[in-house]
Amino acid sequence: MSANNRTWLRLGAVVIALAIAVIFPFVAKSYYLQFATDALMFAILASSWNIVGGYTGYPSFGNVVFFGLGAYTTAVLMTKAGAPFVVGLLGSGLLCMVFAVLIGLPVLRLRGHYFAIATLGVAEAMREVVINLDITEGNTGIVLPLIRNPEMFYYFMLGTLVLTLAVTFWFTRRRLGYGLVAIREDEDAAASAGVDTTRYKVIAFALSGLFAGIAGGIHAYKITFIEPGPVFSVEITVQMIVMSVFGGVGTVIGPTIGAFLLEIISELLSNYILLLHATFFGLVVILSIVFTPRGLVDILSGRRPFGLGYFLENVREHRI
Amino acid sequence: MFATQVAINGLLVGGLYALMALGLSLIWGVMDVINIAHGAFIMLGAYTTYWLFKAGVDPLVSLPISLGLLFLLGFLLQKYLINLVIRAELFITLLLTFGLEILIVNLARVVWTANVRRVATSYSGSSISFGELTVPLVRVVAFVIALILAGALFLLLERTRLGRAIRATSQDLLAARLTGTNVSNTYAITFGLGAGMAGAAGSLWSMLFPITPTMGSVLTLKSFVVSVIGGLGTMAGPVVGGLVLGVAENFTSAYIGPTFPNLISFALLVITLVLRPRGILGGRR
Repeated sequence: MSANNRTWLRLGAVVIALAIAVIFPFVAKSYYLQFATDALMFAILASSWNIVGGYTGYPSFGNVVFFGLGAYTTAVLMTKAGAPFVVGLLGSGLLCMVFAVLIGLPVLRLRGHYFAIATLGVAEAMREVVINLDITEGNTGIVLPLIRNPEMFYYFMLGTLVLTLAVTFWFTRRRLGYGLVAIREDEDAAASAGVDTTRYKVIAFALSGLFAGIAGGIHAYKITFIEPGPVFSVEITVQMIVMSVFGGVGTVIGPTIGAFLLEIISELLSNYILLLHATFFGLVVILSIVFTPRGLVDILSGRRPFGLGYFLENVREHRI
Repeated sequence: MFATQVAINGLLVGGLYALMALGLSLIWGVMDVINIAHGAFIMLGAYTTYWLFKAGVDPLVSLPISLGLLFLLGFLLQKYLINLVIRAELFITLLLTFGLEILIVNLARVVWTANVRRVATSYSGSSISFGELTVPLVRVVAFVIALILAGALFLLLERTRLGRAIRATSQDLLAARLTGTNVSNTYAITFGLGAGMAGAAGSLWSMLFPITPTMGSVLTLKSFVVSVIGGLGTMAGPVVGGLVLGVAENFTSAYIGPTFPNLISFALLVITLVLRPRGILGGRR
């Protein structure tokens, strides 16, 4: 297949996927709509993690901080300041970007494990701050105005996901994208080749924060009640990473595919074996990491022959 | 007087933190893996002691048993699972151990239920007094055992052939291999030792605090904080870090408020990482 043909094929797939996504609320039952909205949310979160974790190679283990901060910003703006929902969302996005820049400047100087755990620490510390602040009402949580409009939340999530993917696609073809990948492959070499590494990393972190923050804001209004524990849960960060890895790290569409597949698997499981659901999730994480560390996108791209040999080759490459 | 009491309480808990962190930082230092399932291992150690205590075995007797069992578990996990991805990107090993943590904790929840349990020995209530200071006996015992185990690990690493192989592997993988070290086994033993330390720490923990299947995750984070504060690459690092964290936590909860100790440990973590990324003692690496 020539490169030109492939581009058209991809464009066609995107148009069809979008069309299905837009029509979906008109044909789906409310249970499925609910499910799709959650899947979209995780797709946004995984894709936003992918910007800093996948492209830049900085494995943040605290990206839930943006989700939680976004949720709380929208909640506080709507309940304390009486702001409309959209203003709340803008506030969430903006604040998360600013926060990402402020926290990114010191934390992005760290590398490897130190970065991973420092971000984890930031998220945990933020939860404690929210618990101890008055404006966030501590452990009691915030109740948002009730609204019954599942279609609206669906379209907000869909819109945010499309925006996230569009921005990701856009920067991968620009200087920024090449700069980020260069940082991932060899930061010192990138710096000596003239990439302003600090600025690029901070931009990536800020973009990551922006989208996760907006998703948090939509989520807060959708579930109408938020508490510090659940919205700052480290499990959400883990889900973001697992979904990215499952779908394909450092690819535009991989995290979205991973998010949808894992959400479907997880939903089916919780319908049948509730008790062992989380246990199974752990198993999926382990298996997918051992056998397909490059994700499903690597299999779908057809660049390497698929079969038993594919899995064995992955294992052979990383074992000792 | 009150301050001295707070400091002593902090030091005693700090000894336990030190033991936990030793296991984590050993694995981290030698093979560059952060074992997120560390807290789950601590939990397994605590439950080993709990069930043996139910069967009439004293916690101090069951401690070596849980150390041995966890060593075995750690050895097998490293040899047959983690070794498969040991050379992949770092978040892959992080995620793998995260998957293990989810698996172990949820299995424990299914098998043992989420009930809070206690190991209440006949000597649990007794304490030692010096003038106005009182110190619970079990805490002193736990502290002393923690330090003995840390010392034993130190001797193992510094004075034995096995210890030399472990240190060699951590310094230069290729060179260790070329001089005839079986790296895969050395890694498995190291991971086993780290898990064994976690198991022993869990046994001691169960003597002092109530236990649940989900008790581990916050202990993983604390072990990590302690390793970072103290600094990697030395044995003294985790010990110093553990004592610092124990004292800092106790002072915050005594003088600022009982909801703040977690905040202080993560604040300490972030501040250390930014100001002194190599830790207080600043080992090599």
